[in-house]
Amino acid sequence: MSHPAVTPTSHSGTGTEPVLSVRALQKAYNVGKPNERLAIADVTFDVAKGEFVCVVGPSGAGKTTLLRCLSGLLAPTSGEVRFEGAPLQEVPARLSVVFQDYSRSLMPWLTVNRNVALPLKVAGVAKRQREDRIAEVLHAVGLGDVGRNYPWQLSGGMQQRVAIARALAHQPDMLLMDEPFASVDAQTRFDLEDLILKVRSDLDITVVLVTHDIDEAVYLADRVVVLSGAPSRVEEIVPVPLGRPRNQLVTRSEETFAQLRRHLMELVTAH
Amino acid sequence: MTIVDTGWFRIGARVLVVAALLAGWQYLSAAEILDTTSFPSMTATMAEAGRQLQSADLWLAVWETVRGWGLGLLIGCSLAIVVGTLLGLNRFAYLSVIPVIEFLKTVPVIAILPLAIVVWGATLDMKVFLVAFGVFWPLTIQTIYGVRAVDPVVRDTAAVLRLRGLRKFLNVTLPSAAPFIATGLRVAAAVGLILTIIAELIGGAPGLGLSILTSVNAGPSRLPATYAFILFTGVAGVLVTSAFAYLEQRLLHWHESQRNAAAKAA
Ligand SMILES: Nc1ncnc2c1ncn2[C@@H]1O[C@H](COP(=O)(O)OP(=O)(O)OP(=O)(O)O)[C@@H](O)[C@H]1O
Ligand SMILES: [Mg+2]
Repeated sequence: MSHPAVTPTSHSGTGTEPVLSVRALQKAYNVGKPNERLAIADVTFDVAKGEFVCVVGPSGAGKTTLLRCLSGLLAPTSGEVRFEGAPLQEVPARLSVVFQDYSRSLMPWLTVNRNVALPLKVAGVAKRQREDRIAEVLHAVGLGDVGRNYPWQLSGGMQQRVAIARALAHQPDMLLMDEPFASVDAQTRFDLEDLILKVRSDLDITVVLVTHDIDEAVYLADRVVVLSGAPSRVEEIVPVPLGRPRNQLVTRSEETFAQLRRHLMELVTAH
Repeated sequence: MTIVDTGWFRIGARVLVVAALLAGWQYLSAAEILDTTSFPSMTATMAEAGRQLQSADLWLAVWETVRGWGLGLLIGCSLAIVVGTLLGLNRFAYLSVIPVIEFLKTVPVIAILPLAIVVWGATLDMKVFLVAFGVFWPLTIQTIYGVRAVDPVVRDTAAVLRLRGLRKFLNVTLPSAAPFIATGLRVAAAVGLILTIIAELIGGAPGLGLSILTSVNAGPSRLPATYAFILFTGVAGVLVTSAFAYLEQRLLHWHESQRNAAAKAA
């Protein structure tokens, strides 16, 4: 990408500092009320620059809650989340989130172009460059000439591509995704997994992706953070020593893939 | 697609129904089944309506009605949308004010008509006030609910995109509220027309309502005119409602309700 309007925050002095660091994160809902409920008990992990981390855990473990805390949408009850060295106050400018429910996350009253334009307008990109950037980023997610369509005129897979394009438009340093491919069919899901791997290596972006699908986590990740059932703790952080670039057929039939898959299954279903 | 779905067939069917009703009316009055002292014949009414359409008096009355209705609607609706938006955006204000608004909404507007007549007399101002007052409360409530009805996923998305202030209002809050406001406006337009006619009929302000009243007072010979005026108010009502439905369809083409309607029509 040759777009100079927004440059990533430089870490030249502190090359080893993680992009995202989560320390003793705890989150309780309805604190002080009779229905108080601890969703996250104690979660600690780091995400290095350029890394792809997947978070898996049983249903209701608190994965969505964790992701909302990481994005700054939800304040933790205790503990700390640091993004690029600074404690989270609100959603940082250099961070993007892709939600599972693309049909609601894309504004139905705006065309695809206008949806993707939103973060660029917030970043103060001029109209002319904005148009170039929109075309560029739609192309990057494999969408052709759909800019003048409304999101609801597109298929589910295409809509999620638009959502990814919008999340990438202002060239964030990190992408957070909450079960982004859970509502599309199997073939589209494979396509989108490969798309996100390609985008990540092209743009050198850091990705944290929450999923309940263990195969998906192994296929995508450099490391997998396994959460226990609610209230969640980190069960184990599993490195994924599979080579890149990955390939749906080849990677998934590797011996290492099967072993990792088996190990993660045991961890997740042990409760 | 069957013949029943074609545009011409539908229009034809509607014309037929209207024609049958008119013929039935003519038959009933010609056979004197309808009391001729209170029901003029269809032909007499239509002849009178045709005459009226060429008279300046009718168009003056229509103008007066449209003016009172339009001004009242403009003032009442503008205020309602502004006040509703401000209240909807502020939880504390909303919780404090909503009981009062809910109460005022239930006060029948007719109850304050005598008061309005005492203050303004049989004037345009009286009409405008009545219409504005009548449409203000329900539309304010619609607007408040609309502004507060932002989908949680959309709200999260707005936060993630760091949309704020006017940009957030125009790109998120207003479009989310628009379906509620549009319904409110359509109802307000219809209610406003009714209130205008009432203000003329009872309050004596010039307009179609007053024309009905004077023609009734002129005795049985003017009966066809009374019916012609009633017919005109009916036509006005239909025009107003279809105009707002059309606007709603254009502005909210992205909304599920309109998308479904469009898919059905196709
Ligand atoms: N807004 C809320 N108020 C109260 N409790 C909540 C709220 N959101 C989530 N919870 C509770 O917190 C726990 C974790 O929920 P969360 O949605 O984070 O889990 P999850 O791992 O994303 O689940 P899933 O696999 O179904 O997506 C659940 O027990 C849930 O009931
Ligand atoms: Mg979830």
